[in-house]
Formats: sequence, structure tokens, C-alpha cells
Amino acid sequence: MLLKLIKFELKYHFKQTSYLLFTTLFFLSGVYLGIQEGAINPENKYNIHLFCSLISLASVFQIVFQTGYTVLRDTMNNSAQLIYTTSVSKFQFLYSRYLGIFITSSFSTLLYVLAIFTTILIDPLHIYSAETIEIIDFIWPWLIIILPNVFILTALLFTVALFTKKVPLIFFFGILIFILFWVNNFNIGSPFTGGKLVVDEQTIEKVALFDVLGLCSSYEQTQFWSPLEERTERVKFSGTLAFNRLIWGSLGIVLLLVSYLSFSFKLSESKKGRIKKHRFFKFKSKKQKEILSTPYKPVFVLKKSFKSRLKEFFNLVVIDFKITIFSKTFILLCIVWVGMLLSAMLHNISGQDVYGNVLPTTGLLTGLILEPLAHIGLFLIVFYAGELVWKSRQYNFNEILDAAPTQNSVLLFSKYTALFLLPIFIIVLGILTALLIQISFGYSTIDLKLYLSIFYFGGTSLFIYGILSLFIQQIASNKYLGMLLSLVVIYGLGYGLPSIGFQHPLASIFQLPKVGEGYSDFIGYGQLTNVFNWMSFLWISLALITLLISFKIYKRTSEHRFKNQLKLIVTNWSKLQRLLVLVLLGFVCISSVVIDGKLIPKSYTDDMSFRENYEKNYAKYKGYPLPIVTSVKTKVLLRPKALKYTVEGVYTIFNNTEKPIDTLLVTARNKLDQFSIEDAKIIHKNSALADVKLVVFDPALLPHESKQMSFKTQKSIGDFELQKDIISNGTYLQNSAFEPRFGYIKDLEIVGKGERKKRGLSLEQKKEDLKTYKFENTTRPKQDFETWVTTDKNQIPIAPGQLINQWSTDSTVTYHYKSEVKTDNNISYFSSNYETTVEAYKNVSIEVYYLPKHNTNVSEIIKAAKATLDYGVANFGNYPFDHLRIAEVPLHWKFGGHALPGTIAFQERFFTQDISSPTNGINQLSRVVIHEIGHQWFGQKMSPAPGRGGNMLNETMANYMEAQVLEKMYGKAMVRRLANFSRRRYFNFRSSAEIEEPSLHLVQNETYISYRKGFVVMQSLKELIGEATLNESLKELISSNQKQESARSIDFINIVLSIVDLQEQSLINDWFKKRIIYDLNITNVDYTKSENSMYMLEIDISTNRFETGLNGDKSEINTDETFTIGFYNKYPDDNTALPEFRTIRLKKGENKTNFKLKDLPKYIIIDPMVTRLDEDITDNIFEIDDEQL
Amino acid sequence: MNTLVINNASKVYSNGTKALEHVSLKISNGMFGLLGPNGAGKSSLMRTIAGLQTLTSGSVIFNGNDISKDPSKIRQHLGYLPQEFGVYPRMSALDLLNHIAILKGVLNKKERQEQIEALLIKTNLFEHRKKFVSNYSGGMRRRFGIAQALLGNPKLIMVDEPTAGLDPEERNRFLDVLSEVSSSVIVLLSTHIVEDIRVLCSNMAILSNGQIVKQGNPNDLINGLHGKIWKTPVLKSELNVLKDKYNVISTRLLAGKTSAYVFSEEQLTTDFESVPTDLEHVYFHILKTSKTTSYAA
Repeated sequence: MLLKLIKFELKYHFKQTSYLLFTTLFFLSGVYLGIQEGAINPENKYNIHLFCSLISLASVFQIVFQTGYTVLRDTMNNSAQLIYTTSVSKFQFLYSRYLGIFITSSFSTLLYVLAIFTTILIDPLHIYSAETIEIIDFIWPWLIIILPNVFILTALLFTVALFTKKVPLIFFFGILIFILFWVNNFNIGSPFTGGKLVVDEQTIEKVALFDVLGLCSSYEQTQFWSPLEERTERVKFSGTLAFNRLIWGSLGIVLLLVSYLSFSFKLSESKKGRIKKHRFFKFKSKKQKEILSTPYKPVFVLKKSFKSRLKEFFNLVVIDFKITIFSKTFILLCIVWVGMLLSAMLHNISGQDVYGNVLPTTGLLTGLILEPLAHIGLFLIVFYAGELVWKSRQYNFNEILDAAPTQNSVLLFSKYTALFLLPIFIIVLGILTALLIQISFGYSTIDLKLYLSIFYFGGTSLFIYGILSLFIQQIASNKYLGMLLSLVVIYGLGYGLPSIGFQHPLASIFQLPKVGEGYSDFIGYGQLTNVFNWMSFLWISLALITLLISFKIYKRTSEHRFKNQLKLIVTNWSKLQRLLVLVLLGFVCISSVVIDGKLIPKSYTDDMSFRENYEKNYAKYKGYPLPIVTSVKTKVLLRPKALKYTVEGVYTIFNNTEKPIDTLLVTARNKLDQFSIEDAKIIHKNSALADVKLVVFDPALLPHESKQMSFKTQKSIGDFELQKDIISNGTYLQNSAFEPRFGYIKDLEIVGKGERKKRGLSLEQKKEDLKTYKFENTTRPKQDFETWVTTDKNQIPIAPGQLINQWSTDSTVTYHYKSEVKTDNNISYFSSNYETTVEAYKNVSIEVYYLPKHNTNVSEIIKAAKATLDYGVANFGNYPFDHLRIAEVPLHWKFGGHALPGTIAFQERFFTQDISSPTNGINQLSRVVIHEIGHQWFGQKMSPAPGRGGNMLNETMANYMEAQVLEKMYGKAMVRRLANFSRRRYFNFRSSAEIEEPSLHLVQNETYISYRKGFVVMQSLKELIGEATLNESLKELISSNQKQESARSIDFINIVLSIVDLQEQSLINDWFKKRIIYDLNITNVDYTKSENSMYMLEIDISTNRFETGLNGDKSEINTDETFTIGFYNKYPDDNTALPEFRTIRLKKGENKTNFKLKDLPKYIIIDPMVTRLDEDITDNIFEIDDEQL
Repeated sequence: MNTLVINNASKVYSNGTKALEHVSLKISNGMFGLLGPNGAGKSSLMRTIAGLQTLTSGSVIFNGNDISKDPSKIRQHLGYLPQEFGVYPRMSALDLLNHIAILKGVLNKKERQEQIEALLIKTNLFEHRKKFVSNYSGGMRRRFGIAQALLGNPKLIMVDEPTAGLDPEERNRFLDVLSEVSSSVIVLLSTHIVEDIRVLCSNMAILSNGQIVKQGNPNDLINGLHGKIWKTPVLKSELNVLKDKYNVISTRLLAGKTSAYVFSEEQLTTDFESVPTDLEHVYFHILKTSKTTSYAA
């Protein structure tokens, strides 16, 4: 019988429209991901696992629908009494239904996985080798992640359905699982949410264990995988992942048992006799007798007036709104919403590790409300649109309501209003939550106007979705199908066309630009507001046409025939309706034309055809000798209010090669209005997107010969142009935005294999052989720099160099800067309504330029600047300029800081950093200030020569400066935290790196090596040779490379090698020239107390060292080196801990060591300052039990 | 005087079911009974009059207004109690009546309050006015239904199977209320309980398979069959033979014994005794006749 029942259930599910729709969507998603280049890399098993597993998330919603339909179908269809009185047993009844959902959902997810596999196997672009594609790589994640998830989710939602018997609560739990997924994955920086947060191992392990979908567990297992492992290894069913599956699987079984035990074939009893406080009448004043004698008589009914309609309307809205907001589901949703916001806000404010605490500014909190509002709001709208439309029918109240003499427009409009009140309600809740945070943190700069903007920027989309959802519900044959269709239509219209290649703002139908993170105190949402306004105007107009149709097809009949409604759409349009549609269509046309007209052509870097032609036409100039710039003179006219700039440049170009230059390819981002080079002529130009010119020298530019180049360019920013170069307040114009670049730009070559194949470009790409890389003796002269920067009168123009002069007219102000020393070509121009703080310190004028309201952190910036100048001057020679300018730039610049000669661009967020407890975590503000000032020695004073390893001298050394100055300012504990952060970040980013891992001394743009590995390695080096010796070596490097860009990483290594013994040389070579990782572990600690009250500690330490190849293959190597061991009275990250450090020589394998200590430590740590790259440092620490102390 | 005229109304559902076929009626103030078996089309006719579904052909005119063109013309004067209805959860009778009264245009708060009080008393719900209607028993809910139908100033009250499932006391109370209000308005009572029509209605129509098969004053209809209904005891095994031989309109069980009722202009045999005609005989006779006619057609 059970089998027959299961068969019936399967048949039932296969007949459900929602099931078929979900299954089709799953299948199509699989096909789409399979054919989409760049989505899934079939040569990477980890990548396959990641994409296959993601279907678990979508299956939550499928199971929600199926569970709702299955468990509650008897109640919904009034057939419970029939079914419950048959001879079916509890076991057969419950488990046939459970298995029906489980089997069909599993089947849908399997289809998704098979669709990916098949499409990749077919490989329409023919870019992958079929031999490398194995079906087991696709089935495996289905078996260990998806299938258990379907089992668990079905058990969970099935139990919820049985216990609550309420569809909204099943939906609520589904949404809760979805939200928990995002919160969990986001908070551990999992790739499933695209995050790259650095979180400690213990937190990840805990989250991984309790993540219901097991996706965090996959991340936990693979977080440090090398690229080789990602390509070759399958995620193993072991460790935390296996434990997670077992825990949740067991819970699933327990839930099924509980369901079985608690279920009985009884009808649910309603709570009778509840007396509700009446809301509208006061009977108290009347005597009962008086009331009982009241006779019934008809009441004269007013002919419907505007007033009466208004009253009806408000009454309907109030009833709908009240019923909704007092429902359990909505209250739970609000609790989750506020909880989510609180957690996101507190998480952002109390940043972890390197992120530092920030002030709860209105801009930050507004962004944190807007981000989740888009998702929660959509679900809210879609769900409650269904509830509101179907409410009267669901409660069988529709005939009474429909027979009332209320106008259709009043009935329908009241539904829309009640629906729109819901997002307004949750926005208000969000704002109140944010205000609560601000007040409790004592933050008083509250920007109410910005809060109110959430209603516009967050609410408009929801208004549009609301109209669509209500329209769809009107034509859908049932509520849940309507909800599903609404989601499909909203997502389909929004992302359908772009996903198949139509990249035009009008192709994302009913989608508005996301403004969540775009707020800056400099310009608010800037140009984005223009785009948003026009897009809102367009989509609201179109949505209003839908609304009009909704009104038109609205019928109070029980016959809901789609055909009839279609007929109503095309017939019987009244004059007013026609006029309205025409007006709205007019708006749609006008706004579409405006949007299309204002559309900015693609940048040349985004235009694949341009890049294809560029490669085809100009690749032949690859390898041609190129001149360099030795002198820059610019006149920069900034007009921030008008969003325009003009640059006139006169440059000296110099042939730094040993070959004559006769042909030169020049590429400029903007069109050059004037361009000329002395003794050269332009023989070819193409200015369709970028300005590409081919210049021929006649006579050729001989080695060590100079010529003058001049150009003029201007740029006017369109209303829709979301650029960063010139804005009304907060301009930061980099020279790369307008300067002509010399030679073939390899970065413009198309990377994607499929795209290259499609465009007939060669797939073979030359791989640089890192093993045979040779450092060349290439040096490059630095350049002179002089500029005249003009801007609007109320702003201050800033550029590198000494301020020579300044003058103003009625509307403009001009500053003349000239660099007193030669600089590199790293130049930018600033202009803002700055407030200025200037402090003279040891012949250096420290100048901080900031927005007037961002004055909180100026003193800390100056404090860190002084400490850095002191350390730099004391250890690396004089500071090269007489000024140090630190100028604030808007949030849209994603860097923390950017060092120019004597000038630093410092991002807005650091000016809102909370430094009230500067010693906690990592003082992010000071860290970045130190780093950027460090570049004045490492980058400006000593500039690297062209070639590999330059970033080791720039970034690694600036990071070293961070550690040294922070230690002086805030102690060793902060450096330990920073080193630990760098260690984790190295392993994290290494696993997602797409190219071979170079050694530190050959690093190019791999930030995880130059910044992160470099930090740790420099700490090892400091520990090995001492701070003084290391600084002497760096000073020597700087002093011998001041005149030209000539420093090489190998030069620094050679300086250090020359002053150490052979054994140390070997270690230094390993750290800088190889990829070495460690596995240190304190396995046991025994201690005894001697007669003289000393503690004798016997510590077992396991030491292993590995060398990894270019691809991540790992081999064990010998260990014989000195390590530091720390004895702590408190946890090592505690600022008040008083550690005692000893050094110890350890060899490969197990080591037994003995120490004699006066006090028994609480913690013993091998490598306490994290100077070695060790994947897991949780076993480096040994805690002595409290009882023993 | 209010008038409701139904002209040649037909309703065919999209699946081909003919719910109404050429129905024509003219109804004025007073109680009008609509009698018919389940599925005869009574609810369809009521929903059509209420403007909740459209006619395939024909028209419904209320006080001179064609409501198939503008249903709002009738809704302003309508009190409607559907055969089955539910209510919103967590709402008391007071709240819900207040809500419906506003929708019906009773804007004056005092008048609204007084009318609701009166209706609550009339329907014996005053004691339970603060309880959630969703928790009411079947009878209480029906009474609530009539209360909401009487809100405002209805000129046409339509009640669809209002007494089904009510105990005798509830039923009498309900019929009293209807009878009381029917003097100045049209009350259209749809039922398959013949007794309700007999005690209340001055005019009636019998609906079968979507068609009006008979209409008129119940007494006239009864008089028309006077002396033509005969009763005879019959064994179950002989019933079919009897049906083949005579015009058996119905059978009844009394103390475990079956009696057959036969329509005949004169006494057939001595086994048949004449019985006083009641409305039920008329009803069964007409249904039988209409079926025969329809088969013959």
C-alpha cells in the first residue's frame, strides 16, 4: 500500500504547475550555467562543486511550495474528514507524503546537475577537453550536499507544516533558512556569498557545523586549497562536512519521528469562546435595557459620494493592513528583519580584525537598510500580494464583499494601498532600528533627510513589484502559483535579456539601479540619482499601465477565466482610460528615448569588438621599443559643478632604450583634441572609442634622445555617466584618465577562451617561465612635475608638489604646484570643499584636507603621520618633501589610501572610522596612514625598476612599516593580530588565484603575495636578523636607488644575504625565492614545580615545513631553524597580556623542549607573532587548565 | 414598489454546463421563493442578480436599471446572504458588521451603531457580539449572515439556502426576521426546503435544470392539484411496477412502511386514497413533469 500511495504522491506532484515550473527553471538554470562562459570551469572540480551545491538554496523554495500543497491539501480542500476516516495507517499516510516531496524535489535538483553536466559535455564553444569532464564530479556534490539537504529541508518544513498547519509559516521558515544561509556565509566570508572577509578558524568551524545547508562546511574544508587541489580534488565527505551532514541528517530523522508520534487523524480544534475587545463601539455608556429595546429599521444610505468612498477605502485598507500586520507570519518577519538589520549594523560598526570599528553614520546605516530591503521587500510584496488578493476567497468572504456596493476601483486600490503600506512599515522599522543604534552609540549627526530617501530609493522598486505582483495574482488561477509566477516574471524581466547578452539599461525591465552602497558624504548618490530618477519614471509609467489594466480586468466574479480577462484587456476602453494609457505610453517613450540618448557608450575596456580589433590590428606593435616621460607640465582646468575638465599637457619623452624608436603606438582613454610629438607625424588614427594613434618619428628617436610631446583633451560628463574622475564635490582625477599611453596595451586583450574563439582570436597564450626569470639591469629616470590646477572658487585644488603660488578670479581658483624632487609618474588632481588642518612637524608641513563634518579623526591621522615620519626618518633617511598632504577622497574609490609624491589620497571611510578605543583589534586608520606614508620611502624615494618584484619593494615594505610603527604606537598584540590577518588572507586568496603563484621576489600584481605573504615574511626576517640590521639593509637599498627607478627585489635580498651566515642565507632564500609553508603544533605540555618555586616545562612541538610548486603541489622539506616561543598569562590577543618570549631551535618532526619559568603561564604559543605561514595556527597554542594553575 | 425583472436569462459556463436557460421572472415586494433541487441553478441565478457573474444572454432589470450592464445599480440596494460564506479571522461580529456597514454606505456613526445593535438583538447575537465570528457555530454564523444582509437600506434581500442546517428554533427565528422585513422590500428566498416557501412566500418559482418550470402563488398551485393526489401503500419490491403503471410523483416512509403518491385526475383503484394536496406534492409533480417533458424533448 505504501508503494501505491507513493506512486499516487508522485503523480500528484508531477501534475502541480508549481512543481513543473520549478523543475523547468532548475533545468534551464543548469543549461544556462553550462553554456555561460566563465560561470563554471569544468577543469576545476571545486568550481563544479560550488555551482552544483548552490541549487540547494533554490530547492528551499521548491520544497516550501510542495510541502504546503502536500501537507495542507486535505485542510485546504476540505477533504480531511474523508481521508482521515479511511483505513490508511499513520505511517503510510505521513511517509508516503514525505517521500513524495523528497523524491520529486531530489529529481528536480538532479535534473539541474545533469543539465550542467550535459551542456558542458556538449560544450557549444568547444573550449574544454571532453576527456577531463567526469560525471562523478557532478554527481558527487549532489550526493553529499544536495540530496542530504533535500532530505533535511523536507523533514524540517514537513514538520513545520504538520505542527502549524499554516502556509504562511511554512513560507516564513523557508525564508528564514534562506536568510540564515546568507548571514552564515557572509559572516565567514564564504565564496557562496562572494565574500572575502577574514574570519578566524574557530568561528568558521562553528558556523560550518551548524549551517543547515552544509555549504559553509564545504567552504571550511576548501578555504585553504591551492589552485592545484581545486582542480584535482573532490570535496571529501569527512571532517566538519561529514559531521554537519550527520547532525542535520539525524535531526531530520528525529523530526520525522516527532511528526509521526505527534500526528493523529484528528481535525484541529479552533479556539472557541475568545472574547475580543471591541474596537469601534462603546456600549458601556448605554444601559443594557435601552439597547435591548432598539428596533431594527433600515438606515438611509447616502448616494455614494467622494467622502463615502474615501471612508470605504480607509476602512478596507485598515482592515487589510491590520489583519496582515497582526498576523504571526508578519510579526515573525518583522522580528527577523530587525534582527538581521541589528546584526548587519553591529557587524559593520564593530568591524573585525583589519576592518576596524566605524562610526554609525547615517550613510552607512542607510546602505545597510537598502541592501537587504531589496530582497526582503521583494518576498514581502510577492507573498502579501497573494495573501491580499486571495484573502476574501480564502476565507470564503468574497461573495459578501463583492456584493457590497463598493466601487471596483475602491476595492482594488485599497489592496494596492494595503500592500504598499507593508514595505513602508518595514522601512520605518529599519529606520527606527538604525536610530536606536545611533543613539545607543552616542552618535548625534543624524541625517533624517537621508533616512527619508530610503522610501524613494528602496521603496520605488517595491512599488513597481507590488503592481506587477497584484496584476499577476489577478490573472493566476491560485495564490501560490501567482506568487511563483510573480517571482519568475520579476526576475525573468529583470535579468532575462541581460543574461542572454542584451546589455542595455532598458533590457533590465522594471529594474532600478541599486544605490545601497553608493552613498558618499561628498555627493550623496551623485549621478546615480539622475539615472535612478529617469529609470523610475520609465518603469513607474509602465507599471501604471499594468495597474490600469489591472483595474480594467478586475471583475468580482467567481469565474476567473484568463481568456475573459485577455478579452477585457483589448476591448471596451473608455475615453479616459485611453487617454491615460496614451499619456503613460508617452511617458514610457519619452523616458526610454531620454535614457537611450543619455546612455554613455561603453568604455573601450568593456567593448569586446573594440578589444578584438585592437588586438588584431595592433598586436604587431607588441615588443616595440617605447619612450618614457621625464618631464610633465600640465594645466588642468576642473569645473566640478559643470562636470567638465580640460587638460593641456606638455611632456618630455625620452628614449631610455638602446634602440632607435621610429614607430609608436599611442592609446588615450579620451579623445585627444590636440596631439603632437616633435619630429613625428601621425600616420593612422582611430578615435571611435579610445583614441588610438600610430606615430612615426622622422628622424627616429635615438637612444637617450628626448622630444617634446603636447596634447589637449577635454571631457564633459554626461548626466548618466557613473564615473569617478570629476564630480561636483570630491574630484580625484588620475593622470591615467587622460594621458596618452605608449605601446600595445596587453591588458586590452580578451581573456575568456569562449569569447576569443568566437572572435577568431588565438587560444594559445604564452606563459611566462618563472623558473628561468632573469633580473635585468633596467633603470628608468624619474620625472619633473609641474602643474597649474584651476577649479571652482569654493573648492581647493590639490596636486603633488610644492605650492608655488595661488590666485583666484570671481569664479575660479588656481594653484601652481611644482615638485622639488623628481617623482614617479603617479599623479592625481584633487578638488573639493575641504576643511584644512595644518601642523608643522620637524620641517614638514602636515596638512589634512577633509570634509567639514569628517573632522573626528584628524588628530589621530596627524598622530600616526608624526609617528611614521619619526620612524622613517630615524631608520630610512630623510623624508623627501617639505609637506605631507593627506586629502580625503569619496567612498567610490575602493582603495584605502593611494600614495602620490608627498600627497596621499585617503578614502572617506577612514574619516568615519571609530577610533574611540584605538588599541582594540587593529587600528585601521593608523595602519593605512602609516602604510601610505611608508610609500614616501618605499615607492617615491626608492622606486622599483621595471620588471618583476617591484611590489615587494613597494607594498611589502610599506606593510613592514605598518608593523613597526603600529608596534611603537599600540604594542605587539596589535602586530600579532595584523600578522594573523595577513596569514589567513594569504591562504584565502591563494586558493582563489587563477595564475601560478610566484615567489615573493618575483611578485607582480598578486596582492596576496606582496601585501600578505610579504608582511609575514618580513616579520620572519626581522626575527632572524633583528630590526636594526633589517632597517640598515633597507636604508642601503634606498640610498643607492634614489635617483632613478632602479631598485630590484633581488638587490634587497642580496644586501641581506651579504650580512648573514650560510644557514640564515638558506632560510632567507627559501622565504623570498620559494613558496614555503609550515605546520607547527604544540602537542603536549608537562610541567613540574621545583623546590625553588620554579616551573619546569616539558613541551612537545611538532615541526614540519613544505615547499609548494608553482601550481600548489606540496612536498615536505627539512626543517632546522630558530622559532620564538611565547609564554602568556592571558590570551595573546589581549592587550594587557604580559608575554615572555624565548627562542628555540627546532628540527623536522617531533621536538621535546624544556623551559624553566618563574610563573606558570596560561598559554604557551609556538611562533606567537605569526611569522610563519601556517594554514592552521589553532594548534600552535596550548592552554594550561585552570585547575592546574 | 420595487421590481426585479429577469428577462430570458441564460448562463453557460466555459465547460459547457448550462446553469440557466431562458429564465424569466418578474418579482415585486414581498417574499419570493425559489424552489429547486440541488444543482437546479438557484445559486447561479442569485449570483447573477448580485452581479457576481455575467449572463451569457438575457438581462436582469432592477427598478428599471439593467444590472447586467451596471451591477453597481443593484448592489446599492442589495442585502445578500450566500449559501456558504466564511469570515476573516480574528474579527468580532461588531467589527465585521461595522466594516460591511461602511462598505454599504452607512456613514453616520450613530445610525450605524444603532442599526448594528438592533440587528445583533434581532439575530440573538448581542451576547456574542465581541467574539470572533470565525469561532461561531453554524447557526450563529447564519444569523450573522442575515444581520449583515440587512445592514443599510436593502431593497432586495437575497438569501440562498438560509435555513439549511439550522435547528427548528433557529429556523423559526430566522424566518420571522425575513417575514418582518419583507413587507416593503423584495426578499428572494432560495431553498430546496418546501416548507419554508409554504410558510413564507406569496409567490414562488420552481427551478429545475436551469429552467423555470413553474411559477405562481403557492396556494394557487396547491389548488390546481386539489383532489388529484392519491396515496397507496406499496412494498419496495413492487414499487417499480407501480411506477411503470402510474404517475408516481414521490414516495414516503412512515413507520417503516412505504407509501407512494400518485398524480391522477381520478381514483385509480380502491387501494388509492385521496390525500389533501400540499406544496410538496406540487413540487414533486412539477419536477416529475418537467423531467418527462425534457426527456420527451
